[in-house]
Amino acid sequence: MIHLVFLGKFGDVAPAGLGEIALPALRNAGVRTLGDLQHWLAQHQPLLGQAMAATPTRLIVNQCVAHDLSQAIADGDEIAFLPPMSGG
Amino acid sequence: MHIRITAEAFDPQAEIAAFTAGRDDAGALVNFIGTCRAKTGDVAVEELRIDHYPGFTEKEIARLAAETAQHFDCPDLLVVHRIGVIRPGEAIVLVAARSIHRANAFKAVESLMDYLKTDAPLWKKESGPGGARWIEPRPQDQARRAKAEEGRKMSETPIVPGGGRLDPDMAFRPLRVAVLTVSDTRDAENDTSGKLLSDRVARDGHVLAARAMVKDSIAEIQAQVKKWIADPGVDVVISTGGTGLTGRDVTPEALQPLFDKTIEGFETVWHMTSFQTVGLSTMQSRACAGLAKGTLIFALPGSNGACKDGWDRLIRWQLDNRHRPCNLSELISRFTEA
Repeated sequence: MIHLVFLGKFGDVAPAGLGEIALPALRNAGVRTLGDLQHWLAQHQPLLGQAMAATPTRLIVNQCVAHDLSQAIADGDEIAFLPPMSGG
Repeated sequence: MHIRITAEAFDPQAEIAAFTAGRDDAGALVNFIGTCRAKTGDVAVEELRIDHYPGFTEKEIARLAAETAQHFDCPDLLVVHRIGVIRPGEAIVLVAARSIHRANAFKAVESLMDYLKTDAPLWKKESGPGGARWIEPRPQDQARRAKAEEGRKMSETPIVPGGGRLDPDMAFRPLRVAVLTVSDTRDAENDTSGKLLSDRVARDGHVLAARAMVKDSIAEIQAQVKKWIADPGVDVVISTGGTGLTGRDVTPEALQPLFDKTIEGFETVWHMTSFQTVGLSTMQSRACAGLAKGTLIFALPGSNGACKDGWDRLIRWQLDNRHRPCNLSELISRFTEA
């Protein structure tokens, strides 16, 4: 199982059922890496895809910043999608 | 360092009181409190909602605070940040710094706030009569963040005079430096320029190989410097004093006969450097440098100001093997080649 977290405005456009996806389903769709996952999301969730395309998006895997979209996805990963942050 | 993320309204004054309770070791307490506005421009704000990413938000804010604490040498930082639904007038963020002196505390608080605005994993949504909208960092927030980062980098990288630079990939190689004070009037107690140079030699990573004091006498100066030239444990000799124009000033007359090569360029650069401090008066200085059997010898004036200029803005960089485009340190092994 892959756990997906959508923060800020991404949370507004991500459907509620998108929090968990079975890994075999993703594998069957040819999703191996973070980049593949982002592409797959954009295809299946056009609103989410548009929101991510319109703004710099950061990916966090298991609470660590992912710098490389070719990073492979593993079972149990928690992958978060972060729009620009606004603290303070 | 204290980091707290809270979904409950907090009282900044109570947080500060708890942060400082029972402690009297700091001379400065600086704090910033950010509060929720009732209006953004002309648009009324009914509430602000701040989302966070549990775990990651706390971790990242702690990292930003730790970097700030280390950079400004201000370890005692407090960050309290609200999440959830916030009403106008309520506090959103509190950043406080306790420090021995105020300067670092001011800088640390300002710099950390500039980072939090763009780098803290928090997402703000403002709601009012016209609906809700997500807030993203404004161009001025990005600009302040960029400036804060540049400020931190600048203060980590020393400014090398004359547009030189230090190669960050090279390891520093210390040299063994002997310091000679030339004076009729000074003694070990009040040898301030000799102490200043010795302290700087060590401060900048070199080894103080020896320190001595002689009178303004050609024979005495030569006797001491010849010993150091012959000593394989001394790479560099720096003298202070005796480079002026009065009758007692004989350091150049003592050293020049020992030089195999005079480094004329040193005199040129010395005057350019010293001119910036003392203007035309630099022409009274006969500071000089040369090579004697592979030992580098510099003769600086006796004043503390001249020694500071000579070391901080000139000799220090040429004795640093990382200095680019080139330096004297990397040549030392070649001074004696056949």
